[in-house]
Amino acid sequence: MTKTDFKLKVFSLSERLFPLVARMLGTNANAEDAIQDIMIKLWEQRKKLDNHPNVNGFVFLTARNYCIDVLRKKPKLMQDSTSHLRVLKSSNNDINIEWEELNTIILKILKEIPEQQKEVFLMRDIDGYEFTEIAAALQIKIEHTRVLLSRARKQIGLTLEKTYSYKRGTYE
Amino acid sequence: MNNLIEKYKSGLTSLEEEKTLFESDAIADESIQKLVTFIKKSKKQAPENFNEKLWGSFEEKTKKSNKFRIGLISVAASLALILSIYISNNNLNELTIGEKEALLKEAKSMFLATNEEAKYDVVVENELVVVYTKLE
Repeated sequence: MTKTDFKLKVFSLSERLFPLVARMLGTNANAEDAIQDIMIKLWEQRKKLDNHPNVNGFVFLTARNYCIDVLRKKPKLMQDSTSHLRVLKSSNNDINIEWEELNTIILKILKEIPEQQKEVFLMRDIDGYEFTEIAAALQIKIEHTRVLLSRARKQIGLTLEKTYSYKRGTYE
Repeated sequence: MNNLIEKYKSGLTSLEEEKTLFESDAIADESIQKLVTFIKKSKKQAPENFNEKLWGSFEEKTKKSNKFRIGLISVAASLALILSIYISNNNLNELTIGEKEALLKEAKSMFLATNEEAKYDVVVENELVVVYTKLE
């Protein structure tokens, strides 16, 4: 794969990698360096990419593995204490109470649903990836990805409904 | 819209349909509307011209590694060159058997010519000719 090909087919995905990497690592600043590292890793493996049937999938898989590696090396305490603030910080400065509440509720729901469901949901709805890309990154079947996503969406919807109707006092 | 929500819940919407859903103001289902609010606020956008900005430093870094590779290759090449010169020089210093024989004869004849009375003993040690002589 020539450098021009690489730029066109692989490097151009940097922008699309950004949501995943920034979300997993928790900061936008680290995301840039991380993506740079990921791209260099991919460049070193460019021979593998020549006839790869799912280049995007391979790129997202590499990126996810890279982030998992980085997080594994980081003390666990740090992750947990920032995971809640993470999403709040990314919103506008005028933090309104309603949003803060919703954010807390959904983050709590996400903690409670199975890990894989949560990850599929985040990669689809927050990061905006195709099923083929998510399936490749998580190394599962596309159909299974749909099933996990559907379960996650339904579960989140259901729990939200319960939470809010309970608040209004209409929950039976 | 309700149809779209059902499709969404079943994981059957395309990214485009999801975009339409997330941007819609007319979601009757309260829980989905809340979820959409969360999704929209949590989305992360890459900084502007992210690809182009990143490409600059990427090229810089990959060039460096190319330079390193060129350096390695040239070190290997010069080693090979030195080695081959060394080997060929070694070969030059070595004499063929014929040449050795001629040299030995020359050495012997020198002694025969000058010291006819002398008793001599010629010892050939590989490439060294040692002549022990004794005058009587």
